[in-house]
Amino acid sequence: MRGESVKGHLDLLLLAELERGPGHGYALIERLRQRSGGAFDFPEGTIYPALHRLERGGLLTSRWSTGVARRRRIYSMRRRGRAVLKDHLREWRLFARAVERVVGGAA
Amino acid sequence: MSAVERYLEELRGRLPLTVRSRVLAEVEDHLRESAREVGEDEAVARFGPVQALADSYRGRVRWVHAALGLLAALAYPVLSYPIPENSLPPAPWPNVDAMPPELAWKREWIVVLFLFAVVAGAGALGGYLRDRRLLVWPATLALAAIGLAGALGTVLRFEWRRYVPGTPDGLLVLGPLQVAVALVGLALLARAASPSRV
Repeated sequence: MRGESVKGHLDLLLLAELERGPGHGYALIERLRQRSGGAFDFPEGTIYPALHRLERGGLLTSRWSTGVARRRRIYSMRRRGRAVLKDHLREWRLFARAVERVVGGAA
Repeated sequence: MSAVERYLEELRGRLPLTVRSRVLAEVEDHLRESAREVGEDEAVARFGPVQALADSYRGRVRWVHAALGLLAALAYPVLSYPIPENSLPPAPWPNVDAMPPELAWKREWIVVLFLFAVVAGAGALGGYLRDRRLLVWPATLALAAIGLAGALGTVLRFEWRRYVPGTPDGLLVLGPLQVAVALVGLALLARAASPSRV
């Protein structure tokens, strides 16, 4: 899948993934890749500005992990993030159904 | 120098200072972990171009600068107000109502423009906290009003010297400085709102 398509939905994907449990940037990329069956192919670096933006917006919280060789920033969901995820999911499902209705019979 | 080290070094030079250490720590952790799986060159290639990553942070910093520019422009008249108040010799008219009309209307308009700028500026900063793009139009109006007040203040101080002997020449720079602060604010705003920024 093209990077630009994924980037447009990156906030939703990250929120959905963090709803399943906290994680650091690399782990989140891996989880997204596995769950999508390797369909998502976008520059991995784009995840960090998105995570930082979501954190600034009060949707995520983060802390440096301890007990590993390197310092790691672990992200987790906040209550506000869950509420926003719910809204985004509702919008996404409406959008996906509408697109499917339009293009479903084509080709 | 390894591919990861080169990438980090290049990124260090392009990231804004405010986010540099945190972003570098996260990126290094990511690249080292990724390099263990796929090798350094592939890890760096998968991560994406340095410039694109740096730009996504620079865009935000530009908005912060624009908001700070607006705050500075709003603070300038307040901070510089005591300077003429404490250095002007007594005016020859008995009270403010007796001030020559050509000075009085300019003084009143400066106050009106400043109050307008405060209201527009407060709206701009309030909007900025919700969505940074809401800063643009009210901030433009506020900065234009501050600049106009500065220009009017310059004319007023020139004329003031005719009516009040002993008015210090140094006061003449306050108006142009206010115009300059407003112009810098407008330039920062234009840079932040430029469509090429992330």
